[in-house]
Amino acid sequence: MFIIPLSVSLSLTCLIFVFMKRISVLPGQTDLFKFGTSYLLLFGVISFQLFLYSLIGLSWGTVSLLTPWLIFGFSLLVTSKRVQVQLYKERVSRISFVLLVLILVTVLFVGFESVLRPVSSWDSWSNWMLKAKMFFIDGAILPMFSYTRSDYPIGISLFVAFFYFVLGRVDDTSVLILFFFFYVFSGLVIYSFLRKLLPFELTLCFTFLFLSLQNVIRHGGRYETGMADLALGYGILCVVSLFYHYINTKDRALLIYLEIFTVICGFIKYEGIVFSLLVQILLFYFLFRERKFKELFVFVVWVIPTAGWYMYKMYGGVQQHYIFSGTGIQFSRIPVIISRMSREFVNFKNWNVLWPSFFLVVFLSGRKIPRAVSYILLLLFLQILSYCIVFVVTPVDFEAQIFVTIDRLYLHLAPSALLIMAVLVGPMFLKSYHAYFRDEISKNH
Amino acid sequence: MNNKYTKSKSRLKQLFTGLFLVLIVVWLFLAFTRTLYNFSKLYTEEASWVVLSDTDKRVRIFGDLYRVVSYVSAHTHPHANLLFLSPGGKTYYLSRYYLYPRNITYVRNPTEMRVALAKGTYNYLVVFQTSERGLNEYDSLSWKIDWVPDVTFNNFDNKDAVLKIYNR
Repeated sequence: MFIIPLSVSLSLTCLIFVFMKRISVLPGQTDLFKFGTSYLLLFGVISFQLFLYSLIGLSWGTVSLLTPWLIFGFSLLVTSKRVQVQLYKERVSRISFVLLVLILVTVLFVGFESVLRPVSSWDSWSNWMLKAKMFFIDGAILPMFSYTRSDYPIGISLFVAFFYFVLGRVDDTSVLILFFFFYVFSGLVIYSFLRKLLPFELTLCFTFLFLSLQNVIRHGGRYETGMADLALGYGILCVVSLFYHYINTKDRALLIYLEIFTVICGFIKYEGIVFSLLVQILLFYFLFRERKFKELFVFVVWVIPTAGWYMYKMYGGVQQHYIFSGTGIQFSRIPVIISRMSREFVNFKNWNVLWPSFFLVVFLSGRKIPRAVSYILLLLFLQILSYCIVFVVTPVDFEAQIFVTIDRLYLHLAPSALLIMAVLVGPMFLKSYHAYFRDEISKNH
Repeated sequence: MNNKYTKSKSRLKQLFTGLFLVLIVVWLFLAFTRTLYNFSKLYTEEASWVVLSDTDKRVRIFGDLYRVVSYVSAHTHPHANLLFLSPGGKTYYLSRYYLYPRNITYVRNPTEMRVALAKGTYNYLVVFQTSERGLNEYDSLSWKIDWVPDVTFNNFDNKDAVLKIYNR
């Protein structure tokens, strides 16, 4: 049955992509990058569609939810000229062939695993999938608030519920393919972003290094699939990529999409709301420094939906998040928190050597770090700091909480960390890369 | 002096660059071997999953807990109000997921149960007792309930486990 969510989600992603091409969304970006981010847009649009229906009192159902998509697809078909997708013409060397095979094997393995078992991770069935099931059965959002007493963002649950409506029943095995796509599309964004900066082989190498991270694989298709952390990691990756491009190009059109992606991140998880707030602060600082006061209007794109969600939650009468019901700041925890959080950076089982490599590259780059990268690094640092603060104030056993959540928290940042590492280290590799391939080419001749 | 400082700085940089290259080689090696290892799991671990039915997969993942929710699901109305005396959080949360749209209220011991029964209206009282580690947070085997259950089920992997449903 996973064929249905697979084909519907891919078809709708393609529709979004064609639409992005049609109205020239993300100017200056490659088609592959646009396609890579279109799954995040699909996620945002579907979540918003269900949320909007709920607000205006339209009932959720297979027909009512799919009809706008059919009209949208049909109108694109009628009005669009033939869409030409531009891709790089690559010369497949021996190394790139091996890397391509490795990537393919990894992706197929994760895809197969994702639909092999029903949802089995605690957070998934106790939160995300439970709410999706409730939305499908109740056909509304509000009953969920009174039953679960949870004020968590509901983007993931609405997204899954949409596919329950498409399927016509609750099927918590086949919808896991949607989480596999967060894995695939993260890889696509990393590949397409880096391909603009690095040669084919190096880009494939970094993409493979990302896709083969054990923690990413577990969330993409094995026992931890169905959780929202990889989805947030993918959202943050898209925001980071656009933020990087915006700082470099200062293109106003990118700014609007950056804000849209940031809003979507806040609709995935609580940590996404914190992240989106941090983006606003840094963006405000950047616009202020650049004296781009006219562009401050863009914050409206973030403020309206974020404030709207908070007002809706108040209307639903949910309690505040349990994190804020504690006794206050416990400074005595800080050494333990730092120790536990640092230890995860060298958890090779989860991350191979991603984090030591990342920190080493940042250290090596020193003052040569480009401006755009320094903004991203600050963003990632502040996000990690926000996790520290949560552990300092949490009312529950903080050591146990660190133990069960830390690998997931780092998963939010891992795709972006790898991307930034590749951006910084690329020039270092390029010299030896060109020397190697010059030899290869001369040998072949 | 300045020259010496610059030299030692560049040596340090060379050292760290070398270290980074070693890390990348190690990373590639790990990624490659783990890819092969993952792929081998298709034969060693996953082949046994492919042949299982959906129910068998769920039993394999959740063990006795899936038998609990299946049994309660079969013996209660879909929109019933259930008071669940549960041996721990996992039993309650999994039941909440699988048994929805049944409304489940969670109690942790017989005292809480009596208070809840006095205050609220429930269609069923469900009691699950087990000695399984990881599920038995509240020493459920020590609970004494004098009433006679309407339905009892004890065909679990855990020999001490028993599920009782009382109609209200």
